[in-house]
Amino acid sequence: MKKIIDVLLSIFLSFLLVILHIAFLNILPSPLNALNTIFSIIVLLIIVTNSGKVVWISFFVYFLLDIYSSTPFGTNLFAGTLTTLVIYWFHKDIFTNQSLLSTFVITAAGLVVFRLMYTCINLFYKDFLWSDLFIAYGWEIVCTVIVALILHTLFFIISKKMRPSFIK
Amino acid sequence: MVQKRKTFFAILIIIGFVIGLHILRVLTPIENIFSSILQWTSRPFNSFAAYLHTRKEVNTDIDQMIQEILSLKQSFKQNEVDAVALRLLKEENEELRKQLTFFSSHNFEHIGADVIGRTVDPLGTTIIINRGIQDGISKDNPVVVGNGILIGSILKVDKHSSIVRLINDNNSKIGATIMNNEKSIGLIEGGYGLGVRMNFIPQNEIISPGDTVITSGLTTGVPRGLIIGKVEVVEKHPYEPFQQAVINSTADLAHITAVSVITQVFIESEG
Repeated sequence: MKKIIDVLLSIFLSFLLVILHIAFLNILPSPLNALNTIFSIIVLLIIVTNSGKVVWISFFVYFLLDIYSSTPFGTNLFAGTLTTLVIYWFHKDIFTNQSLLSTFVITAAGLVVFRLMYTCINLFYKDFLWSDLFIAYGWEIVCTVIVALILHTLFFIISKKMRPSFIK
Repeated sequence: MVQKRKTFFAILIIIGFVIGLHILRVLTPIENIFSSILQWTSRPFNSFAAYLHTRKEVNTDIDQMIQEILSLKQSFKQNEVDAVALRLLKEENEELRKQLTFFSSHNFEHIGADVIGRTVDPLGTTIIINRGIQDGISKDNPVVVGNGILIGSILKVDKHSSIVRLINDNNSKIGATIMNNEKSIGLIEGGYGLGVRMNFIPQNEIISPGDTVITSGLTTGVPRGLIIGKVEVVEKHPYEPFQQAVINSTADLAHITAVSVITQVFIESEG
């Protein structure tokens, strides 16, 4: 029963992530709408939970994103899921602490890996204006890293305050 | 390390399996359900974004608004004169066509659609509309706004929605004609989300900034006469066989809320 609730909650969270990502894409002005909301939250989940379950959440999230995307089906799914696996291992074996530096490095490196795979797959289907693409990716990395750091800070401030030693 | 390799390949196999199921259309019912949920939830955000843009446009200087009204009044007067001249030319043209026994009047069927969002691609040159296969839409159908201003074509169709590739997408290629004396033909290609260019215009033909560009009818499924934009800059090099032009699209491609999709082109013959 607990496992079923767990799975349903993961599906619900995945939908929420995708809706949030689409919402920011539509509402925020350029270049802030380059923010990859999904990635920043996935990084936070990996750092906070340190659980491989996040890879499966990202699998479902990128599956939903592929339905919504104009790129060939599987592009986001392949690049996103494998990137999440790679950054999970990165966090588990190399940057093992929960510091801001870990969040920064994992987010930036993860996005580079994600966009590298994404671009390589799309090279089979379309050509790019590379300077324009690098500018778009650059803004995405900047915005996503900043948001990931903010979320990290907020989470740890709030969770610290909620510890029993602070509540009397 | 061995465990990691196993995990990696297991995930790779699962991804491949899901992609395989998608290609075999086994996942289509599930995808349609998820797609409907996502579109239903993204619609209010898209409407809010359009509202924010409208508010931005409304908050302009009063002096600027007065200038715009005066300029619009002048354009309207000019348009009335042009409409009379156009009617006379049209009657003359119709008479000549009858004499030459050459009729090619086209009629087409179209369906209206709302824009419900933009896709998640980094360069953002595709939009999503709320009409799909069930509404009679198919791939490569042209998409217009206003009075026949072409903005793109259908790239991908689902049951209840479709993705539209805008004309400023780098993979967009549409045959076009410039309304100059020679009626120069060329190919409208997107400029990676930045703008629109017309290429392969014969070097010896004279085109000027301000010339109107319309669809030539040479692209399959795209009828002749749809407005694309106006020539902004002409690029001509003596050592090249063709000249190029930068086209300013008549439609505001960044803020589209409602479109029409041309689903069928009828060719009528008279007499």
